[in-house]
Amino acid sequence: MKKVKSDKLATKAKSATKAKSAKKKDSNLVSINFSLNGKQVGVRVHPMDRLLDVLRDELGHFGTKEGCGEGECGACSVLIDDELVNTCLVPVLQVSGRKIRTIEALKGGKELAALQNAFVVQNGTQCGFCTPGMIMAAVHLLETNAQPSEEQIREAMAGNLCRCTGYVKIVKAVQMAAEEIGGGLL
Amino acid sequence: MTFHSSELQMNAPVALAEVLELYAQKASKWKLFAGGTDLMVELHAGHCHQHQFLSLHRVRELRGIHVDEQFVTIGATSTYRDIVNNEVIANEFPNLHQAARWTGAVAIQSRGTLGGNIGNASPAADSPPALISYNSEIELASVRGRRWVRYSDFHTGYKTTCAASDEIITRVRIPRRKEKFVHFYKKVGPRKALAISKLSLAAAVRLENKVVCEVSLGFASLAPTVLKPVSIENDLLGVHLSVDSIKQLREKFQQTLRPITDVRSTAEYRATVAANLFEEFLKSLLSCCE
Repeated sequence: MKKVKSDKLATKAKSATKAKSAKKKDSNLVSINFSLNGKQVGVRVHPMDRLLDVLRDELGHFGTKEGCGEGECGACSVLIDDELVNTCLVPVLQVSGRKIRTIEALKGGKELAALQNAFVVQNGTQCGFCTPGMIMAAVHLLETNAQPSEEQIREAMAGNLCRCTGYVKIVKAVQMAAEEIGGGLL
Repeated sequence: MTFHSSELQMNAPVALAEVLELYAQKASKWKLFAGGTDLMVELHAGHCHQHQFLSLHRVRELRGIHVDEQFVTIGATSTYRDIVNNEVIANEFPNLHQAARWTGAVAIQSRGTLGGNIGNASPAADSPPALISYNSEIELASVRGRRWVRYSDFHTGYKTTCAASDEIITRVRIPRRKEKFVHFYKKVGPRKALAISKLSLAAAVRLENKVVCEVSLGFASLAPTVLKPVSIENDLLGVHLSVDSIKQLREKFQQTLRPITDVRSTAEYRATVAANLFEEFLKSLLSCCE
């Protein structure tokens, strides 16, 4: 079952890339290289393409979601050089040479295990659409503050909207993960 | 994608001289682009019709905070996060620290820049009232040279400034003060994070035995520009703070108010909230003396 799903994703990514490359035989294209989840990647894109679209359509990283498209919801959050950003507001030219981490970077890592487990145990996820952004905001917080207070968690997550949970469960999930990780992300 | 990025150009020079050269030659065509937290939204909404953007992100000398004896000088592309994380600003200029911390949320703060916030010239911006309360100055640069202007003189009308068409904002400096000041910053919005203000007030006041000796005020979202209400500052100078004098000051303040109506609020609402905010500020001064 899992395999079918990932094959589907790969096919979707490939066809999206093909469609894009067919369209893009124009002179405005530029080559941009950056580090994505520890690997160097290069793309031929328009300089003002949104990083969000490049991640999803060019690079097949569908964990980064588009919510509002105007920096208000945090569903598209990733880390650029360890800073939390909304990828819907970042033109791709500005990430040339930078280090980007998306939700996929956490796969198999200690941090996803603890945060994922905490979100599951505390019911911090319902429809799941905000979850990748929530997790990235939580990683950003725990990398800079191992023992955040409730107020600090709320401030750190304030840019991430969830229309299902009502936030209490998300805050509890981050508290639980912080206790479990115990500064392991610093 | 709702905007057509294939039709948009972006140039990102490394040298400030090159930025200034391009901006002077094609001042009508190039739009400066710093963190993009406003422009990307406007492009997405179809409200921005510019096609050529001059990104400042590679110009190193524009970012960073420098502290010397006289001034704290902030590079125009320093982000809100740079400001939030600076200890001197947190200790000496808490209004600016608070304004940066209450702008958007973390992901906006790591992209949005001080120069962008000023240059965008919105009357609802968060950092300008704080900058006004600290008598800040801003540096404008062009191929013709550099000049410092008082920040309170910068905004000339709704989204208009005194910068010439070839000038860009390069630095902001805030004079450091030895005397003890009381600081006040409050933003009224629909929610704490990610909200654009309905009204905000920043103030820095020097008191001696309940008497106002120095005062500087900055309001956002009250007038077509960020506002330094000089006549109200003058009314405050020399006043001995008491329950009675605060009541009189509030009444006088309320009479001078001519608030704006916009998408976020009405003039009527703003008049009441501004008066309440002003009174709260005065009461906070009084409680500092007790």
